[in-house]
Amino acid sequence: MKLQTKQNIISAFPLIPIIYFLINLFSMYSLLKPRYPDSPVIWIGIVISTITAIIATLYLLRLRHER
Amino acid sequence: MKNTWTATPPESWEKQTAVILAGLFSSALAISTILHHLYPHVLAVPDLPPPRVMPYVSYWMELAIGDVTSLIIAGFAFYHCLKKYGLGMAALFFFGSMIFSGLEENEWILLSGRLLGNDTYFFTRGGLWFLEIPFYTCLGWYFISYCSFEIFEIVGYRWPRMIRAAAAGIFAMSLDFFCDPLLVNIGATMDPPQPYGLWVWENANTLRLFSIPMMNFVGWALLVFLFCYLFGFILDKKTSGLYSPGKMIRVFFLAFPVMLLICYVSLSGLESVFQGLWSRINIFPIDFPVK
Repeated sequence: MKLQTKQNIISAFPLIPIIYFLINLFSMYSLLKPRYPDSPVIWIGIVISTITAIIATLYLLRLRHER
Repeated sequence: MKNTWTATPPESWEKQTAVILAGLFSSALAISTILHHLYPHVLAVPDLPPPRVMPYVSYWMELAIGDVTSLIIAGFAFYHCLKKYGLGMAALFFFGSMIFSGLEENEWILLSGRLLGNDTYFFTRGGLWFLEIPFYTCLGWYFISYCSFEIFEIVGYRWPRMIRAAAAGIFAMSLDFFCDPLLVNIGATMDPPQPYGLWVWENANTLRLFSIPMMNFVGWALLVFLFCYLFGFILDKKTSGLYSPGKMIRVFFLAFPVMLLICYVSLSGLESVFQGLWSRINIFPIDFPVK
């Protein structure tokens, strides 16, 4: 693999733990959902995920600009 | 922007730093884990039956999966840091963030909660422990701190160091808005349901947000801000050649007691204000009553 390609892939690594963390939390919510179907906690999750997605996009755009 | 990716093999100070920190932290983990599981009366933290999220595997397997998964995920952050900043800086961030956040959390659990009698919180489940903090929590602190730091190093590359660190702190805190209300109630999914989760908040009568003490969220932002600022500061000094590796490591670790004191004094003061003025206020309560 070319060094530049490898570097590009590794540059995105800081997003992986954050995405894992959010997926893990949504899976925890799926455990609670059957007993608490109307819990507003899902809206916090959606808002936080949206903010994270925007920041992640800015991060990737900035990385692309750097190259 | 200057390309800072390292292509050279690690220098001797970097290898020494990594080995010494790994040795010290592993020893602390081993001693704490033995204390927690075999001699729980020594630290006298309350013990509750731990909630299970993977009932289809054995209890010890579930604990091992939790620690190993967190370690693998932290590995992505560590590898990025290793490639971009070198082994020495990667080791400083990895062990430094776990030691700093671990000591700060233990300050609340053991010093404030057990010694001074101001109940705060305690954890109910963990395989490996750093004093009374589960290892997966230390790893969570690490990867959230590092990823927040790195994201705002890139996104906010023109911002002053302090603003970048503050943005990282606020971003990390926002992730906890979703994390805390879920994980402190995960016991509600058990059979029979339990009114607690992976940790238990004991400080009643304080200002709450989403039914979680506000001090928790302020603490998240403050800790990540202080640590990211410190790491960014020594990184700048190293890059500009102003600090030798030895001086950089001394400044890094000598700042820990100061930062821990700042956290303790400011958060204690804030908690007193919250308890005195808004003890019954719960902003957007999110509760999971046991059914």
